Amino acid sequence: MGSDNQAVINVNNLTKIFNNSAAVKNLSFSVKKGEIFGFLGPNGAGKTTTIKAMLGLIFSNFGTIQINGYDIKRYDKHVKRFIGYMPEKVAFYDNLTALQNLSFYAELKNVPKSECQRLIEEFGLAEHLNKKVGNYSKGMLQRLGLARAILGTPPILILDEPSAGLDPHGVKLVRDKIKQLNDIGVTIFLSSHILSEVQAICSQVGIINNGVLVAQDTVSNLSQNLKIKPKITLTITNLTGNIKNIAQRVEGVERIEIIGNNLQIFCLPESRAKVIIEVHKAGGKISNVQTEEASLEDVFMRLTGG
Amino acid sequence: MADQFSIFSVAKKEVMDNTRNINIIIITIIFAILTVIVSFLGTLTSNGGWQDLKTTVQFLMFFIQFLVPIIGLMLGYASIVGEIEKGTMNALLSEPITRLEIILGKFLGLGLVLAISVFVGFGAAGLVISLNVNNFDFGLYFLFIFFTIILGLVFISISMFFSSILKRRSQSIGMSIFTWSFFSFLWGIMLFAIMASSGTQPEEAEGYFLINLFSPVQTFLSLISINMGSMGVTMMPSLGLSVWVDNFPDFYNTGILLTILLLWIIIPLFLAYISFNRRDV
Repeated sequence: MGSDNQAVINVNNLTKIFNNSAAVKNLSFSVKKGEIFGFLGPNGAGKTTTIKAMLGLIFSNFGTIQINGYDIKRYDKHVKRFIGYMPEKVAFYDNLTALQNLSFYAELKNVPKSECQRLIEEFGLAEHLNKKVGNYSKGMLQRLGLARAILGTPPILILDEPSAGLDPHGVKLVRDKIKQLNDIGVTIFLSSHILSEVQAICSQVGIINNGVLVAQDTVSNLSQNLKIKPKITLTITNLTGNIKNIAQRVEGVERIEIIGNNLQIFCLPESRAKVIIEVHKAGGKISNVQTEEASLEDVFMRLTGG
Repeated sequence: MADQFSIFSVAKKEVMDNTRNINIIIITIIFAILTVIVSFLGTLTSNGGWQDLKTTVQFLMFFIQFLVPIIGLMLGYASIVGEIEKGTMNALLSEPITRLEIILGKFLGLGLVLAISVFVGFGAAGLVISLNVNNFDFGLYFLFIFFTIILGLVFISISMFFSSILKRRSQSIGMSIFTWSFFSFLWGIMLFAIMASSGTQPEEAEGYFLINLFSPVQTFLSLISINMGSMGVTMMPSLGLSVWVDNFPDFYNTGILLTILLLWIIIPLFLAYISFNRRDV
């Protein structure tokens, strides 16, 4: 992965007001070259507004956005040569075929048309190459949307919910493609509701809530800073209340829940071994041990008040 | 500075998209059939056989002034707002292309579609007429086609303006229908009412010719009339009233009338760009 410290996306104090209400307020963040940046937030938090401002589709009231060092307002056309974009709502010209649609965008990007056919085939749409896009399913449109975004292999890829509406094969295809592109140095800005996906592939995440960026860091740093405890689950065949009380007294344990034969313990990582020993000493017959790091979902819920 | 390559790419896409649009295909076929029928209808008012070109054009003008504006408005009303609603504008604007290039490309492409539609309609009629009329003046016929395309471009430009300022496709359709009714029906009725109330004939009313220049349809009719010979222009074709005007004032000449139609193209298109260039998509 090509990762120097150069920020290729710089958003500074972005503010966008719709009907006297700020959709985004003083939003600032940066994305470094070669990163996969996960952009998260509840519905209506301002994710799509931010993305649209980054692409010059909407005009900010205040603040600046620089892509590769160029101000989007001043160098709009030039900046877009660096960007591939897949919108949340993928749409094409219904009367044209997949090949005709992609060829149109290839012309605008000055990309050889031979790449269109290759991408269509790569995304499993070879059989539908010359069918009108108006007859495509949502999943097929999503695939074609991603193909359009990566035409010409732009150095920055902005993906707004790329897995929405895809079957598991499609989801895997998208995930593999993102990784593959990142491996060759493409910076990826990914907005997604699928937190497990973001956690699995993103090196950095930014979380936006009510138009304000509430956090930007790695998932593990965020969970550490928020003091979100990892979880250890012990399956105990003779689980009793006494065992729970003994485990509860171990230093570093935050809380304990009993679910069937499972004892779910939220504690500091260094307390895990001690908990297991104390449960064993109390006569607990442990048949299984499972550890789970703090998830992005925990972080997300904590930061967005879920 | 607009990039010609981007403009042509958008124009090409518009031609490909619209020539596959079933509504445009249907109206082109209707246009072609009506043109042939109308030119044939001339036989009812003469000694039999096909009418000469001027008489045919006179008949054609009755429906061209309704049909060509409709084609223009149909092509342009969704050009901006339709793409925004559908979501294709997002993708288009994320490409290396400016909003000016999109407006110019769309206008060029839609203009070409309209020109194709008019050529198909008039081409079919022209072919049939030329086979039945002696000394068919192709030059004059092409001039008639050219002016008709200019009229269509005016309405494409007007509808693109609506499409760029209005928030919904339905509003754009509504404004396009109103514009069509206004210039094709209401204008004549309004002027006729003014004439009738003042008890003057059109030729006598000095202001009549001046006011008429504010209507692209009336300007087009006058332009045809001046160039195709003294066949007059009807004020109220919608009511079937033939108030023929044969004596145009001096300032009614091809240059001025054509300039007015070109202004009707340029001004709405410029306003469409100004509006689109400030619009959040």
